[in-house]
Amino acid sequence: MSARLEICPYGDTGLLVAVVDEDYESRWSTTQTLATVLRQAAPPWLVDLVATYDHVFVCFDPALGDHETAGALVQRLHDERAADDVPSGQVFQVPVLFGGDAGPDLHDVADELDLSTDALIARLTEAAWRVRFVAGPAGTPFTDRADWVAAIPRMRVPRVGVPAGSVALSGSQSIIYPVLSPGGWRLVGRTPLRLLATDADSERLVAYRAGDQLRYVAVDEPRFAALEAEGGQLGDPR
Amino acid sequence: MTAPLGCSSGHGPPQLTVESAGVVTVQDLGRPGYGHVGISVNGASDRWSAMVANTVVGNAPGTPLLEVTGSSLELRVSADALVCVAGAETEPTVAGRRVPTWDPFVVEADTVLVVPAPTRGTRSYIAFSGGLRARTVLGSVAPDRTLGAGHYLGRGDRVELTACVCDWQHPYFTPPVFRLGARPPSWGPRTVLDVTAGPELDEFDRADLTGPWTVSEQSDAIGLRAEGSTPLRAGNAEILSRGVPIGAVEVPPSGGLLILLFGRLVTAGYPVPYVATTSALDRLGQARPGAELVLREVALSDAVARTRSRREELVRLARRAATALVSSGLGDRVGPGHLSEARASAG
Repeated sequence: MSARLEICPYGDTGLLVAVVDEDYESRWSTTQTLATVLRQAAPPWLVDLVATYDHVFVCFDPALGDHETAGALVQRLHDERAADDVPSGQVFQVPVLFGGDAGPDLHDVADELDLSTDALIARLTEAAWRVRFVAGPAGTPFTDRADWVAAIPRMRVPRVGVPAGSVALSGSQSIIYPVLSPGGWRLVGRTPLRLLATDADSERLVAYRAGDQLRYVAVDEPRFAALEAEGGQLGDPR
Repeated sequence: MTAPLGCSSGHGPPQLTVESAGVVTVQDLGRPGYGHVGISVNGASDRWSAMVANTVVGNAPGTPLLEVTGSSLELRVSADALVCVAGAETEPTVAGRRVPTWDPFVVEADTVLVVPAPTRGTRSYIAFSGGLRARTVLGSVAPDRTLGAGHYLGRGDRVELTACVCDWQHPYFTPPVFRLGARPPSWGPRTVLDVTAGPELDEFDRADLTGPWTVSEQSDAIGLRAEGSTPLRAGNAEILSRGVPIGAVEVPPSGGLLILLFGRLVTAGYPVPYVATTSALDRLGQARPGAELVLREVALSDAVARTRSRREELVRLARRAATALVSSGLGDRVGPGHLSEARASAG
């Protein structure tokens, strides 16, 4: 509860709220808690909100609010919050076909980490990855894991088209690309599940949120093909 | 096949047919409010022009309309339509005769509206009273490749109009129909971009950021690249991914500046010394590759005041448009926009 806020203007319709605390976990949980209580408070001026590891970006409607009003509410919600509590949430099983065309960088990343590809797959699947936040492109879960510290470099030249479902690594983080998009992360595998449902409302565009966990489960090509044919979405009851 | 309310002309649902097109999309103001799930905003690049075009034909500011980028458009309508062209400097014609920009005019059924490539600026907005009907994704027609959303129009494509103005007799039927007082921007030799201080301004020398910069060919709806010598950053503390506003002026290690536009990803990890003001974003939406760009730091309070006064200007314009349209007998025929208010006040 010792976290402190630094609030600064971020354009004529925005605020950047930095959460200052010595501990990574408490910075993140304070950040996500603050975002949750601000969304629940639903002030009329609130247009958009992006919460990450240790920052909350608040975008407001200048006809209904201003930097002072928004900053004061953020500070008050922070001061009055009961506790930093990000629910550990749901655990989602994510079937992944590792290597080959689905994960063209698996070999190189294994080499860089001085692991065999099998050992790397074992490491990636042995524990769940915690969703730290959801961002772009379109619903991408940014995850990490307390027992995984690495410094995996990005592609020197980003790929123009990373296929949807690609499971990727960079630094100590892992993401899944929900949609075909450009990207510079290293691709180690792919899930046949869809992540993004654009016909849903904004709460359910993706099944996961900050605090949830993704557990990668290795599948072989026939299983991948069968799941792909089913066209299931991540989080569907099965 | 029924004609719109109040139309006795016997045509089917009114529509436009593209006769020729450069880069033309159906646009609106995109998908704000989905930042927490990583959906980019997108939508019209010069929002002021798009909102004015809609407003003067009685539409709500975010009604779907056409955006023409750096090229020309010719289209034919199947029913009389009340239209406004705003944005870049261009000289549109209907059936060969000049029609105004920034004010409404009528395109008669089966005549051709030509919007030539701009002489200044780069994006023209063409609004139709009542608006265009097109498939939406998350409530918006705006193109977003990652969502599979968007409508790029080419020769022969048709788009449905939601209203027509057939049978409407107006004493000043030849253009301009009304003069509503929306003012086009002033076009200078260089684009002056108003910016306010961002979180990392202290890590840079202001003189290194001012420019002049050159708008790069590599620019797109995600970001405008400005070429010039790379500003030196004091310190090299890593910036973890964090939310970034549209208009963020980033200093990437690859050199120059990257100014985020409406298609930006919601997070980034580059230093942000400045953020472009809301009105400056409209200028960026009209900046051409090769154009000269200069940054001008303004006080936050001035930027906020300007954003608010423009909002009020749009509301006044909407009132004038509604009054003009209702008093001309078009109140029941066009736009769901601001007309209800004017109808109520007109009794």
